[in-house]
Amino acid sequence: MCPSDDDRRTKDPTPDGEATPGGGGPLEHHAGAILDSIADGVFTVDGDWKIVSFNRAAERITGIPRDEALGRHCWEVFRASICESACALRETMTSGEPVIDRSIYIVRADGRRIPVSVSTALLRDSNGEIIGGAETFRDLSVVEELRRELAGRYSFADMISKNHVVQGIFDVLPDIGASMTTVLIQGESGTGKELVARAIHGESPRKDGPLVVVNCGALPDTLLESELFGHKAGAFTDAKKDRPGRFTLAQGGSVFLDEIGDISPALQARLLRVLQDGSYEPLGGTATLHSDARVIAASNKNLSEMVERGDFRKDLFYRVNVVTIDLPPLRDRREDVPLLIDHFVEHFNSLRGKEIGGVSPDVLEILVRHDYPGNIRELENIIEHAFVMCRSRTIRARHLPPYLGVTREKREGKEPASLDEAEQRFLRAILERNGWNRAATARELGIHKTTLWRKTAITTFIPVRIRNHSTHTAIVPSSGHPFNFPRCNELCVRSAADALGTGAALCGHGPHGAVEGSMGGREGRDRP
Amino acid sequence: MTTLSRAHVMRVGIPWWGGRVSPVLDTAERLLVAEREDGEWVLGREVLLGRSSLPERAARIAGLGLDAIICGAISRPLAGLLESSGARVIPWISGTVEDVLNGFARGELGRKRYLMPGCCREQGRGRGRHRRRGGGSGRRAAE
Repeated sequence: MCPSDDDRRTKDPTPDGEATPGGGGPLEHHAGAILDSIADGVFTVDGDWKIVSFNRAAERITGIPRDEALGRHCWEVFRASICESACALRETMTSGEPVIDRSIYIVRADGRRIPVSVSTALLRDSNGEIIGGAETFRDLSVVEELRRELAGRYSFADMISKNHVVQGIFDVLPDIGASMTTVLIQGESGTGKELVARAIHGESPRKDGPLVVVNCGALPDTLLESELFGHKAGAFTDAKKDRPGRFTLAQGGSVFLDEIGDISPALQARLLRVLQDGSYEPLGGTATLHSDARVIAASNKNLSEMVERGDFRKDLFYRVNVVTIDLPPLRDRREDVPLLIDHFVEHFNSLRGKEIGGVSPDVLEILVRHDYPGNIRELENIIEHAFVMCRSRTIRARHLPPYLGVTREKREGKEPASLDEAEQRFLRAILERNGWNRAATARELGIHKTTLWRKTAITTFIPVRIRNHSTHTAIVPSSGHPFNFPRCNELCVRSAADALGTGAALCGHGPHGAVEGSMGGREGRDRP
Repeated sequence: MTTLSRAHVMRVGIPWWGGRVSPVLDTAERLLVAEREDGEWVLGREVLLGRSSLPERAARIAGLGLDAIICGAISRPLAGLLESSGARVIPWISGTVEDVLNGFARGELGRKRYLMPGCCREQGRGRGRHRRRGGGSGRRAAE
C-alpha cells in the first residue's frame, strides 16, 4: 500500500459513504484498483475510527457491501472477537508498532464465525502525523477446515478423543441420533454429557428444531415443575402471565434433562407421564398439552443404584434408559489429554487473541499424570488459568494452578542435583498425596514404615513444641503439616535429633498433644 | 388473575462498552440490565460477563430473567444457546445505549439507523420473532 495515497484518502473521510478506495484522483483510482486486486481484506480508518476504505476482499469476507461499510465505525463492520478488549488497530495507534498475523475471529451478518488473521499499520501524512490506521485480514476458514479434516479422525461434532471407548461412542452416535429414541447419558461431572446430547440432537432429523437444555439439579422442585411444564397466569403469586414450559419450547426438537437423578419423586411421576404418552398440564392449567419433543437425559449419579435404594422410580428409569451412553472419566482416557490440551490452546488463542504455541514437556507430564476429579472441564480451567498467567509462547509449570502440586523447584525449572535429592522429592510427593500419613505412605511404597522414617526423617523434619508437654519436643514435616502421633516413635525422634546434632532423644514417652506451632527450622530448637 | 398493567416491570439486557452497544455479544464483558416501569427507564445495573465460555455466557444471561436482550453481532452458536433457553434476542443493533433503549421503547429498532451494516432487516419485515418482540414489547412498555 502506498502511504501517500492513503494519506490523501484518510485526510478527508466522507461519513456519508461517498469515499471509495479509489477516491477522486488518478493515483487514488490506482490505489483502489490495487486494493481490490489483493486477496486479503483491507480497510483503513480515520482518527475517529470510521472506515474510509474497504476493498473487495473485505466485502467478500465480512459479507458487508462497501457502501454500507464506509463511514461506519470499524467495530460495527469488522465485529471481531478483539474489538472490545484488545483491538489490534488501537494497539498499533497507541504503540506505533504494527501487529502481525494475530489470530482472531469475526462474526458475519449471517452469524457465522470466520477465523481470520489480522495485521495492522499506521497511516501518516506527509509531515509524519498519524492520521489513521490500516488493517489487513486473511480468511483462515479453509485452513481451519483442512485442520479439522486432519483432526477429524479423532473428533465427532465438538468432541475429541482417541480413546477406544469414546471412539466406540462416536461410531454409534449417528445411529442413536437418527433413531429418535430416548437416551440416557451417564458420566461424572465435566465428562461432556451436554456435548454428547448436542451431537445426538445434531445427528437427528430434528436438528433444525431447538435443543432445550434444563439443568434439573439447579432448580428447586416447584420452580423446575413450572420450568418444564410452564404455568398459567395466576398459578402462583408471581405468575403474572402465561409462560410456556421447556417441553412446549422444544416442540419439533429435543429437550435435554441434565442431572435427572436430582428430581423429586413427585416430579418423577409427572415426567414419567410425559415420557409415556407426551401429555402434561401447565401449572394452574386444566387443558392437557402434548409434547413431541425427544428426551435426552443425563446424570452424574448411577441411576440403577438409585433405583435399588428407592431414590429413583424404576418405571421412569426404564423409560429413560432405552439407550445408555456411559462416558468414561478423563483419568481413564489419559491418552486424550494431549489432544484436549491442543484443542483448548487453540480455543483460547482464538478467544483471547493470543499466539501460544502449546505446553512445555514437563507441563505435559504433569497434566497427563493428574487425576482430574473435575474431568475435561477441569483441564479446560487449568489451560484457561495458564493463559491468564502466560505471557510467552509456551505454557510452563509456573503458569499452572498451584493445586496441581508443582514444586517450587519445578516452577523454577530446577532439576534435582543428586539421586538422594530426587528420592527425597519423590518421598515427599507420596507423603503429601497421603495426607502425611506415614503408614499409608509406607503401604503405597511397599516398604516398612521404619524404612520410610529412616529415609525421610533426617532432612525433612524439624522440632516443635507440643501443647501440654512444654518440655517435650516432637516433630513435624518442614512444610508445617503435622504427622499423626498415635504413640511416641522413638526411632524417628532419634533420627531427627541426630540430624539436629543434639545426639539425644528430644522426645519423652508421655502422651502427645496437639502441635502448637513450627519453630521455623533447626535453630528453632533453642527457642522457649 | 393478576393484572399486568402498570405494575409490570420490563427488564432489558444490553451488552455495553463505552456507552455503546458492544460490537459482539460473544465477547462482551459487561451487560447493562435496564428496567422500565410505567413508560420510563427507572433502573440500570451492570452484570459482569467477563470472559466466560459461550454456554456459561448463555446460562448467565438466561438466568437474569430478561424480557429481551438487545445486542450487536451474535454468533449462531450463542444465538442458539440463548434461544433454546427461552431468551428473546434482538441482534445486530448498534448505537449508544441511551439511543437504543429509547428506540426499543418506541418500537423502532427495526429501522436502518439502529442496524449494523450488512443487516437488511427492515421495518415490519425480517426475522419476525425478534422484530415483533422488540417492537411489540417496546410499544407496550411505552404506554
